[in-house]
Amino acid sequence: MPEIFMTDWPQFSPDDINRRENTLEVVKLMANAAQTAPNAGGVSQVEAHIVWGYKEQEKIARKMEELAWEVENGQMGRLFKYEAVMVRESDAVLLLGNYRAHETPMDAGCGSCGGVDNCSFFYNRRPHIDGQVDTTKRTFSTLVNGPLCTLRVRDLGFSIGSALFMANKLMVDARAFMTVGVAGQHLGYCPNSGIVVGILVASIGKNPFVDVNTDYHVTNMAKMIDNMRRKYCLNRQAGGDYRFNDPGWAAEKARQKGKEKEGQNGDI
Amino acid sequence: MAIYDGKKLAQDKLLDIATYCIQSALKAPQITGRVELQFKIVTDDDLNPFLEAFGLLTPIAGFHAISLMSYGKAMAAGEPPVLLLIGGKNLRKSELAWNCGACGFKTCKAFNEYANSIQPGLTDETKGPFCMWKTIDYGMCCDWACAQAWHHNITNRVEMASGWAARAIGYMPDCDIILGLPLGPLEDMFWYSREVLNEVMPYEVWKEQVMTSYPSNWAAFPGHGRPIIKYGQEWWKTTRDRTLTPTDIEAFEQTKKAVVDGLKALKERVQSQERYGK
Repeated sequence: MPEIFMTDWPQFSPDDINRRENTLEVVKLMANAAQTAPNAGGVSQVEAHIVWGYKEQEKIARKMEELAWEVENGQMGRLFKYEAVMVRESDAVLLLGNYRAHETPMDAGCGSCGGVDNCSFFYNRRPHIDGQVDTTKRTFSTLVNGPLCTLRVRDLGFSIGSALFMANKLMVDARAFMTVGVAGQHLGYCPNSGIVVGILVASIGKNPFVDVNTDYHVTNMAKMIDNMRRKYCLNRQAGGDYRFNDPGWAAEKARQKGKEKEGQNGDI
Repeated sequence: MAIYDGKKLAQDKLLDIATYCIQSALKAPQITGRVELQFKIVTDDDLNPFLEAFGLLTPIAGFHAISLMSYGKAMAAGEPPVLLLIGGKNLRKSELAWNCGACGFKTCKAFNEYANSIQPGLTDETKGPFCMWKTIDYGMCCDWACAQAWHHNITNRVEMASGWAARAIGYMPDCDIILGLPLGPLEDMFWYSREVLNEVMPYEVWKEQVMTSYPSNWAAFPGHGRPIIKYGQEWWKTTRDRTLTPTDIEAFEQTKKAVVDGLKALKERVQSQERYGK
């Protein structure tokens, strides 16, 4: 039988891919769990996109970094930057969207969107004909194109909860992010949805979504390692020609000599 | 040492499951981390006001009738569910300053100003408007409570009905939304494939409900300009019209007023009782 060897380093090596593929199986189950979550009326309304691989994750991370500089709120910009790092550190990204929240609301008059019991808040702010929402205009100036049916959005919360509960039971680290979802939606993932949330998933030694350093976009491990490479190359230039002069070998001989001397003195 | 009646003990232990559900909801990994949760557990006779509230709410939201029948059946059988109420606080205010636009306003500030100008009444299921990201977090927390019950193989179903009733009765007044999660009775499918519906819902009522909801399924040839529905075995003799008659909004507003008056009286009576909220 063929062997399957798994390790998490070097990243994206064949052995690391073996490990990532296991995470991918979990992500698929998470997507299914999202579909079975309780929702108002048992109505299908959630779509899922699974994104993984170096290039694909990098694309989302870069979109987040682009958005970081577009948002006016500096603190929110930092959220985008920090969490872009986490996208790179993940094994896979699960994007969950609700494809009814903007187009086919529950029409239950629950009051969650605008505090009035007749859905007028939603329909007064959306182009529609006799309650049939016209979604053909797809440009918008905000991060998310609101308003949305809040009851449907709440149902999306249930779906995300079930996806995360599945990850929790399978002991895989996962966390949901607004920033990842917004970037994913802007890139065209979950194309029918009015709102998208991104769930990052990873199975590595350190959960990448907790214990986050400040200035994480410049102090994360990838940056540290790259800086180590840079500095290492500079420092090694202090070395001479090891074939003629090897200071380490001279030091080793001196240590050996010292040990022999101590042995002669009966100290060891 | 003692010998227990297993089913009775299991029924009593539904309270333990409710606490596990609360623990799970509080552990849910929120996106914003800012939704505060409150919980109440309602049992036995304290469920009676909920039955009254279901009855009062039925004229404006008919699904409460199904809850009334279901809770009534369980209580009559001496196996009342343990009702876990999950309240979400601080959803109608955004201190996030994410300005994402999902709520329909360009800034959180504009959303907050609008929210402050609106005071929802009892005919709203919830006290909106809500920040969308906090709504997602609240849903996620409720889901973790449901999932915990599911993992303990306890029959359950998260409900708008009992949450709305709880708000009407006056439970957790600081919360912007309450959902109810009945746990038990101890059987396979109490809240789904409801037996009580078989017992009380005649075929004709079911048929009317389906035909009015999906009339095109029974539509006859429309080319004659008579929008008729095929109704009955000899449908050509007993057709029904599909004409669109305007809803009597004024009458509905009066109905709503009567519902609110009834709920207010119920709330006053329940809250005057010494045991309320203990």
